[in-house]
Amino acid sequence: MLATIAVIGASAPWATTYAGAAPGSFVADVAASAGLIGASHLLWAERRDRAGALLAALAGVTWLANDWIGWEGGPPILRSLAALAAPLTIVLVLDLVRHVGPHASGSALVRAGTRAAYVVVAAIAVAHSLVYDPRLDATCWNICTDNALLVIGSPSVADSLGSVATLAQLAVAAAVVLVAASRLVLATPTARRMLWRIILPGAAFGLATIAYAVSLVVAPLEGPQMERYALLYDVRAWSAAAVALGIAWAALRSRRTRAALARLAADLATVPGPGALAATLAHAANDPTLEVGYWLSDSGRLVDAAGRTVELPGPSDARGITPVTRDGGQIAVVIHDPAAVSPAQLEREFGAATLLAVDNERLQAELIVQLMEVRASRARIVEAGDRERQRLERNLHDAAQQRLIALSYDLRRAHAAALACEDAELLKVTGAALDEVQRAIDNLRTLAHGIYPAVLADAGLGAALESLAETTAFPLDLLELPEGRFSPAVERTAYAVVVALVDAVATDADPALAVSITARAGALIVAVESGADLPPLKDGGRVSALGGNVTVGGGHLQVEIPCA
Amino acid sequence: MRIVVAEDLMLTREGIVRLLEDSGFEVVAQVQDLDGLMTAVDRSRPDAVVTDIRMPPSHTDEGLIAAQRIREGHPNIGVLVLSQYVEPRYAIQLIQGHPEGLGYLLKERIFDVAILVDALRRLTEGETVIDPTIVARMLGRRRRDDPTSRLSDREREVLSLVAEGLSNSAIAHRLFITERTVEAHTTQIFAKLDLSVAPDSHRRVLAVLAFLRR
Repeated sequence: MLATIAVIGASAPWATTYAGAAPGSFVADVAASAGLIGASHLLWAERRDRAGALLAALAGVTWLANDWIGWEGGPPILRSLAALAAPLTIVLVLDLVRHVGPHASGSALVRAGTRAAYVVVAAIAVAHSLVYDPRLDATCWNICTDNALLVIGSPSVADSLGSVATLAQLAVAAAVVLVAASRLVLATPTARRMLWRIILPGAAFGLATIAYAVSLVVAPLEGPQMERYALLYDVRAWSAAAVALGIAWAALRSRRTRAALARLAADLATVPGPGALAATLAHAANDPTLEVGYWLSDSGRLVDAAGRTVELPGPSDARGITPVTRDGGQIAVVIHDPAAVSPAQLEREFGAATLLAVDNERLQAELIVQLMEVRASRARIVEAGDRERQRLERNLHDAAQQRLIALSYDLRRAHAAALACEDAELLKVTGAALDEVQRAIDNLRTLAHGIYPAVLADAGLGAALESLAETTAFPLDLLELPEGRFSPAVERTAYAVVVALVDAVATDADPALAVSITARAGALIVAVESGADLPPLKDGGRVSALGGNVTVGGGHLQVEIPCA
Repeated sequence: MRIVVAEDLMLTREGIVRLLEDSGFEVVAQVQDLDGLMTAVDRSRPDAVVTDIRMPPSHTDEGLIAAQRIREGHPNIGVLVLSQYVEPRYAIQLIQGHPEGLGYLLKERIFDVAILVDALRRLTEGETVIDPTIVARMLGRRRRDDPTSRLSDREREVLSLVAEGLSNSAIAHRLFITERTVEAHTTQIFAKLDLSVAPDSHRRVLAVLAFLRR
């Protein structure tokens, strides 16, 4: 860039570059080339469209070539090479317009056309330079001393090739306008908002190039001193600068979006859990004893964010209370040490965001409390049912079974009496009655055991399952049983799970179950394996009532029951 | 023979007492809970105690606790625990460690006078009594690769009588075979089950029950 400005300064007193001829053109020239190269940097750094960045950089460089051509006294080979590069600007603009932004023109025709344009324009420029002898050119204005690439000077061929080159510029410029128009028309509204900043200036550049080419055909004598050409140069330069601006805007926008998304992701990762407000306030006030209590709207209880009851400080407590009010009603209180932060200070700091956080946490606490209540009441229902079953079982044993046993005792006496007086008829009757009573006792025993196995209450889960394994019609392997005791509801739930599975697989062709029960931190795990697929658990309601869960997969079932 | 009867339900208690008296036993005390039983045992020093497994105060396993305490204080007193539960665990818990003179029978069983008299006689002689229903239940457990399936029918029969606590002579008497034959059977059974032969019939009961519990 700086070298170019130096070149412009060094150009001949008679204008051989547009930029050197007028200050306005100079500014436009710098804006175009510096803009394109700078925008290319931004786009490159975004990593998302490096091809686009390369195109913009090349467009900036080839635009600069116009200045290098007119470097009076500069190395001829450099000027001749610059003359080869300069015509490529319009093709690069075509490529940019085709390529940039979302939904790059995927049309195979456009892509092939662009590639062909590179080849044709470059080929014409090369061919022209081989035969063009500037000393024989009457219309020469910028590179009139010599041509380093000249092989055989032929003014007529060079002239024809010059005309062809102009026509090629015209054709490519027309393509720029067409592609720009079609992309704008076909783009979605969102894409159009992104694209117009690049494509519209691109189209303007194309239109100016068309005008320039037409002008060359009409009046071949070109030069910065001619107003029309100077104007067309400025228009093209400013259009290129505007393209650069559009590219820079897109790159910056992409960077901003990326940063915003990264921030969002970070924010989402740190959505505050219950109690975050109290922690934040405690940290801000430098008061580790600070608590936030929320008033529950239905029960009037004061709870923390996790639903635990919060006690208001008593008269002996040094901590004070700052109420949080909304619409005149108290929704929460902050219990804190006034030495660390005064209530007035705290109240001043409560902005809308804090109120929002208070509301949010209060609703959360309310939900948690409700959930805990529902859970507790479900567990209470299960426990009440168990107690009732246990009472029934005891009644059956203590009342009904005792009466049957007493009856059997009387029958035995009658039986013995019948035996003594050798009454065959009576013996038959009492014998049959004794059998009947024994059957009734057995049935009652089975019934009572089914209602609530006494061994479960007396000796625990392991004992009850061992007892169960003695009566199943198929092998029930007890691989691991817990030693200790658990709450009656937990024990009976685990037992009920195994009984339900024993019943469920009893009809299988070759039933077998292996049970492992282990106590882990805070939970009792019942794992059951079967050779065949296990059906879904029938008595899953008990498990969930205690806040547990069931996972079934193929022949494996696992139940987790929380226990304190 | 002097007996203490412990049972909280009047109907059953009276039935048991009448039955014992009819069979020529002397009932020296009738009590209805654990504390009452312990006091009665200390005071009247009976030959045997017939107790319900479930009594006040907790209605769970007071009978087993009583048996344990009597064993510690008066090792010569036989204790017959009556239960409404067909639960091997209670029976094993009862005789764990020192099975001598301890018995576990289902409640309805004792109203067969012959069984009651036989059980009390065996207990006071230091034998062990386990209800046949409990033994049958343990033997009936379904197992993978069941070792008891290697036993012949006769051997199974002998095994259950061993588990009920019967001595070789009692088994011989019950099955109308000679004591030598019983010995041959038990040797065979212990070999088939891969159990080491126990020195006396008490250890033998424990070994067999532990095996069946496996």
